[in-house]
Amino acid sequence: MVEQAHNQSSTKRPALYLAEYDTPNAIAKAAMKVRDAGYKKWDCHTPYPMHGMDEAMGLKPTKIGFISFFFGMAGVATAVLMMKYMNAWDFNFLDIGWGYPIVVGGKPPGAFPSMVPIMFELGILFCGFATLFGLLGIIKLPRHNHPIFESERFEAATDDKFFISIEAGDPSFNLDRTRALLESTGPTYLELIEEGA
Amino acid sequence: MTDVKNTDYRVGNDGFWARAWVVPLVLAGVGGLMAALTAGPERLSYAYLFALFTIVTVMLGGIFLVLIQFLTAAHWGVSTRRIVEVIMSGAPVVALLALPFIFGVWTGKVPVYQEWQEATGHGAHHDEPADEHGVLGLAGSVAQAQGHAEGHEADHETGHDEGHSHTAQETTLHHEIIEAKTGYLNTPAWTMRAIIYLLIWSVIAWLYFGWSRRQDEDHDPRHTLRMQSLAAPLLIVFAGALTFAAFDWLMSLEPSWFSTIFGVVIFAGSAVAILATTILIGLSLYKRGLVGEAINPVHFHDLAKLLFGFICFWTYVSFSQWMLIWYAGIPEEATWFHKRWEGGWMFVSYLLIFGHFVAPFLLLISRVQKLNLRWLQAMCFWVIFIHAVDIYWFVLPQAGAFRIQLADIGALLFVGGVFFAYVFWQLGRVPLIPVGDPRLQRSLHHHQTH
Amino acid sequence: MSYDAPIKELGETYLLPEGTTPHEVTETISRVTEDKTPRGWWLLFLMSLTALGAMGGALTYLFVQGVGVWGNNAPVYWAWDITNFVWWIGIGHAGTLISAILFLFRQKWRTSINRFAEAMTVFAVLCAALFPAIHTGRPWFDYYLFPLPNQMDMWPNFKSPLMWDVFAVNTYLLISVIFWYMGLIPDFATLRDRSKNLFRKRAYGFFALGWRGAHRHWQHYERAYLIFAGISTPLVLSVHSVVSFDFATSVVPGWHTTIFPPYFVAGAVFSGFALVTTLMLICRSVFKMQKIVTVKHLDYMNKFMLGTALLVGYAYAMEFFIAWYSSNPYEQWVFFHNRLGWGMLDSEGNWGPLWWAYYTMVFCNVVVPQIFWFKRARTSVPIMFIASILINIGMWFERFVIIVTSTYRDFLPSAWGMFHPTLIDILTYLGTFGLFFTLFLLFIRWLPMIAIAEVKINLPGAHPDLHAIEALEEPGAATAPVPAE
Repeated sequence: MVEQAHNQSSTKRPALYLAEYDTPNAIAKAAMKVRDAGYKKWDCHTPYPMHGMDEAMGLKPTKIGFISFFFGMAGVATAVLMMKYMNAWDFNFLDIGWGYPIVVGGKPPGAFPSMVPIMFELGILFCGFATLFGLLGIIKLPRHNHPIFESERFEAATDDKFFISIEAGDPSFNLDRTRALLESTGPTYLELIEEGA
Repeated sequence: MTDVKNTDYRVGNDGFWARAWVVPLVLAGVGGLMAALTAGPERLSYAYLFALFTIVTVMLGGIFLVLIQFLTAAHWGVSTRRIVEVIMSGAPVVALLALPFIFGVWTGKVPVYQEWQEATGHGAHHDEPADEHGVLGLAGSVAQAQGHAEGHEADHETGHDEGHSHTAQETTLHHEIIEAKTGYLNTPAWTMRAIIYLLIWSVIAWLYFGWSRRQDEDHDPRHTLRMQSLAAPLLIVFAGALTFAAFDWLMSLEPSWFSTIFGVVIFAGSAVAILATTILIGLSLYKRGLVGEAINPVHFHDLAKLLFGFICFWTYVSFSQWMLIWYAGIPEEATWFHKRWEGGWMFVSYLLIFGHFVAPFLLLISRVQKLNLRWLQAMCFWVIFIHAVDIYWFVLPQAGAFRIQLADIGALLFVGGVFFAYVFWQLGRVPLIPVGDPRLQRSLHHHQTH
Repeated sequence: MSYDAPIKELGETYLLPEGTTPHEVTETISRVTEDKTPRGWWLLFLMSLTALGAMGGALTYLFVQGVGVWGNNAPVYWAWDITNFVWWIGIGHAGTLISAILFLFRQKWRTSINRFAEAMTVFAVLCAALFPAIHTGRPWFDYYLFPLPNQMDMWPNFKSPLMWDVFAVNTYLLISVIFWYMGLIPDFATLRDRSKNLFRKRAYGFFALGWRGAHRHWQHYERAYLIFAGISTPLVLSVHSVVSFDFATSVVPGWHTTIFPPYFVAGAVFSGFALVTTLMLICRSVFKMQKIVTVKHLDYMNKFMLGTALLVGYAYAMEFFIAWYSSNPYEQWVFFHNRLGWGMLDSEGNWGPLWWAYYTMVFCNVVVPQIFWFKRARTSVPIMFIASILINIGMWFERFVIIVTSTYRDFLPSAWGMFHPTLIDILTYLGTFGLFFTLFLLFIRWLPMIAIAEVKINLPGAHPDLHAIEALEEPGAATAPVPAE
């Protein structure tokens, strides 16, 4: 079952173990075992977000909400400053053109109620971009080259199969013991993936 | 999770909840005395209307929450539904509490609607086409409204501006505007409608509470099916009654003023009130171990998210109403907000902006905050308080400058006390979760997906 | 898991037919992008391109001649423009509603239609944005709309609701696009992994960003999705509210009314749902997706249309009641004469000549959807197809009624007039359909039109039952053979 490169002269070195499972329960059970074995740099690959895997993998809650909230508030502040500068205050900031008070419809230049819609919109806009880029930053994507894509079988990870990968960079990684651990979880397929130096 | 059989989900001999109804009842007595002894009939009428409507909104929120859960066939809220049902079932109690007020309006003893009630008396023109006198009527109304506001500025120490003099013509024209509405705003019609609203709410509440109680005994899923299929038509009836009750009881305090979104604003406040109340009662039951794990932090989190959402919705509709009237600046509309800005009311208006939106928004936005039950409890107390302030802000500016009187607090204690004495008493009699609901198991094992 | 099983006594059934496998879902949806292009697609695509070309001609003529080529004259200005702008942007709202609001309310059935509706959002907002961009006939001055430093030291007036619109519509477009794209990432990965030729693999792979379905990614991804849903919900409310502010902040009778914001939002969602239904019914039968978009999904959508129709009806009723109750003669005039054409006659004893627009609107928006009280109508494809088209017509007339009947006979009889669209107006409007369907057909052909990953979430048994696993583990733990190492 296990393909392993024995050619010592090759420049290839192990990158990760890839184990395949057929059912959600099987991968969850396996994930608990890997979690309990104390691995850090490992992951489950599923075609859709599987509920309960946070617990099965022992993951900490995500913090992405703080990024979104902070930038949302920054958007609101930007909107207030922009509108105050352009419609209420009277000075020239960095020579971008004088801001000056505008009185329209008998309303004071810096009237609050008419600022609310744009405060809201800019808040949402900043929050949305921060969430997208925050997400990509946290999960370190885009990354198009990953040793895991070397596996033909892995193409099913976006269809209907479930995988566990344990990376060679993990301190507890050991070619034999890690393999034994994964074998004990009853995968339908197990593969060592290597990458070129 | 605790097995369902571990507890019968009843208050039983619990040290607090077995006799909890005594507390509000005592408060009601104290409040009633306080109100009756310290205020004259006019102030007392306003105070009573404020107290009554605050409780009406809690009850209406309850009806809404029960109906909408059946409409959507939701399972997440099944285990907390009984608390809401019990609050909703207080509709007849509210009706009883409203009777003296309605009777007072009918007999003219309660002077809050005097402006249009008197207009009915000499409504010589009211069946003429509106455009014949309407244009002049508007101008007069505006003059009156501005005079009104100036009156506030002039003597906001004494608070009352009724004595401020307008020219005779202005007053007549202002009255004509109101006379044109007397086809709708007149004492017999108002009284009849009030009774109809209370009947509608009471019938819905007793039907649903009754069916749900019967299901406790026979576990028959057909009750659920019946309640699901009736929820949609009843929601329509309910929405109509809520809207026109808001028009009749609150909007007509200032008979020349109008706003199409008014019913929605009152609805938003009702939803906020019921969610906060449900969370508070639920938390107390949960902490005293009366519901085991049947109501657990997951359910509180769900309710808290809805609470947060409806706080935002309240802000959205309230802001829309305020901003549009501010922006257009038509005096006949703006005068209503003017009254809530002058005479010391500005502070309350700001309090609503910060207390009903900014603070709860920032303090309930994160799931960490919502999942901290102590924090959530404190926030719910605050939200209920600020909801009362909201209703206070709708009613009392019509009575003059801002001055909290013992009568206001007393009236709220009285009406709220009687209502919650009933609610707590009823909670002691029934299972605390709907034990016969076919979706209960799913609710108990409900995991959040987000 | 078992607690989520349908309760037979309540008539509950599985959302998707029992036994649907994840692979079937992948197959059904991906196949559309992989098979040979159907001939019908080319036919529709050419028709759309033709309409788009017609719009190109109309716009060129407009830019050369100026807005005089439109029926844009006193006392009704930009009626056609604004009607179409509001109509299109309203249609967009259904997408965000389905992807965001229904997500927050855990309506699982949304997963079969959300991708589709989100795409509609993006294209509809583009069509909508066209109208403000060309409304002066001088699109090269559009930069005036943005707060850009310029040689004139000229800043926008932020107290104008039209400026709010600029921010609202652009924010809406951008957020919808990135929300849509975020949802597409896992599905791009699916298409990448199924690709047989290198070009497809590279193209889809590029947009998939190297997605490998890692749970450490899904975890953050799901929260980000929730946040997007959380911000899109108020955003979608705000967009049509801001559109309604364009009218409601004025003092024009029929426009200045406080219920406009929620009323516009309800109407927008209503019309969007109608268009989603129309298009979904076609795609569903053409691409054989009855197993993924089931009759149950259609039933839910029709219930939703009934609900929003009732909300819209509530707003109509409130407007009428308050128009009377306000005892403002101008308000009453607009509602009773200009719209209802009844109760108030002009000095020559005539009804308001545009009464038919109001009756069309009420018939299509309030009367027609009442048929959805009946389950038979909610599950009948022909009935819902016709109803959804009628609703879209009705919602177009709603905007037409609001804009034209409020202004064509207002305060001063000497200033009364009538609105007539010109051929260029009509061509431009038809052209937006060309733009919409061109983009839409490209989307159907090249992108997964249903969210593959999200549909799989709802398949029975898609998630592990941790409690069951633990329960199995514990008694066995002591006796289980320790793997020899």
